[in-house]
Amino acid sequence: MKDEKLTVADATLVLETLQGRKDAFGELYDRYARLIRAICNDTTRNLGQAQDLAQEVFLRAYKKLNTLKDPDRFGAWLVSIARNICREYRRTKLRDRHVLVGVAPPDENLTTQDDPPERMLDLKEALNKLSEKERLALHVYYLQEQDAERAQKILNISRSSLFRLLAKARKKLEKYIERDNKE
Amino acid sequence: MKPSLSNSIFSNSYEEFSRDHDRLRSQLIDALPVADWQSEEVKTASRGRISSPMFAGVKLRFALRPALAAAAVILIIFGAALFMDTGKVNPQAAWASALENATLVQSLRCRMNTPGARGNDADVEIWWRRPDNFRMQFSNGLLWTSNGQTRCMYEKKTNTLNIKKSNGPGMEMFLLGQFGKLFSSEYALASDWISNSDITNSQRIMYKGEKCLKITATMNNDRYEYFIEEKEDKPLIFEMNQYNPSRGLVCHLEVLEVDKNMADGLFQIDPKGKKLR
Repeated sequence: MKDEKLTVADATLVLETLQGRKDAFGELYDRYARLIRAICNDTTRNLGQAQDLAQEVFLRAYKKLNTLKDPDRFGAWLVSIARNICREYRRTKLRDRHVLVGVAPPDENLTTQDDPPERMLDLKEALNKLSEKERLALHVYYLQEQDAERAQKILNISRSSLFRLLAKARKKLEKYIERDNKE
Repeated sequence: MKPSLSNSIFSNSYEEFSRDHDRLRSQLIDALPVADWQSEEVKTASRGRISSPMFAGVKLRFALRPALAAAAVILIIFGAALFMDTGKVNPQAAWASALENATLVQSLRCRMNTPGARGNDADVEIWWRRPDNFRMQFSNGLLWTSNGQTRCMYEKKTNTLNIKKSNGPGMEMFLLGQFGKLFSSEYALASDWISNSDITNSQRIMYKGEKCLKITATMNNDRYEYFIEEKEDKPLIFEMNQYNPSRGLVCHLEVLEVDKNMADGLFQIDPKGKKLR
């Protein structure tokens, strides 16, 4: 079921936030917080840290809101901020590790798409094995009420590309889960 | 995808991202700092102007006059080149010329309709006058005005009025999409309108009793129909329809008046018995 609040355009909420209405920013938060937490969780693999990182994403977005060129593209802009902050997080983690031990040990929190699917315990683990692009497409689609139009706007891709990406991701997921069940 | 898989994705893997949402939300809202675009405003207020924590950001963003001029020149050159190449009016040139002419408009009244589900259409009627006066009257009872000094937001339902300092035509014109950008200092962005569009058809037609050029173009998967006056002197776009592949008509915009005198009173509101917010 679509959220009733979605009838108000993002652009209007951005505008109202710039007019000093923090509630409007709260509505944008309601719309996108779950998605941003999911994106952050891909990096942190820890819900608490993902929540903290997501808060930082929204804080940064709020501070820079006046630099947003097209208020109607708030979602895409926010996702790009989230990805930047995740990159910074990964860099910081790596730097800290170098400082502490000199040599970077394998970090289970920083697994990538290239890691072999060793044990697929559940769907969540299978999701972690997808590429960033595929995972993002699933996050955006399922956390935006399965609204293809909103998803393609956030991802800045065509409708056909979105469904191609989703189909590919689903196929991989099914394969991973099937393999896991066999094991 | 099997329905069971999509359901399990949502319920098992994504449910956790809703955890503590309300707490995190209030934590964030309480922690929102005074942003740069707000502190600018506070500085202005301290100089004894109208006190308000808003729209300073818009002021920063709209200091783009040189870009506007440059874009206008590009458009003129672009349009002229097309005319010279072909020796006759081609749709792209006619369209570029119509966009360029929009920069010469001094005042405009238009109406935009966005069809909603189950007949819940939304309408907004807009009066706009250079440099930065506007009045936007929404079908849901909201009324926004700006007269260059103050910006008012009035909600009829609650009879509440919010008055802020004005810093130009601002982002309100963005509600009109690309069309609105023509009338703000973000006009430079409208040049994207030309480069990102793919004209698929053009034809001379009689529309509402007037000769006009109908141009069909696509941009970002949406199909646009533009109706351009067919006259030698400053032809303008006077109607526009935007269609989305899945939702059908998503926006209809109609220019009602161009360069008519508009009374100053249009751009300020003082309702009786209002509550100030």
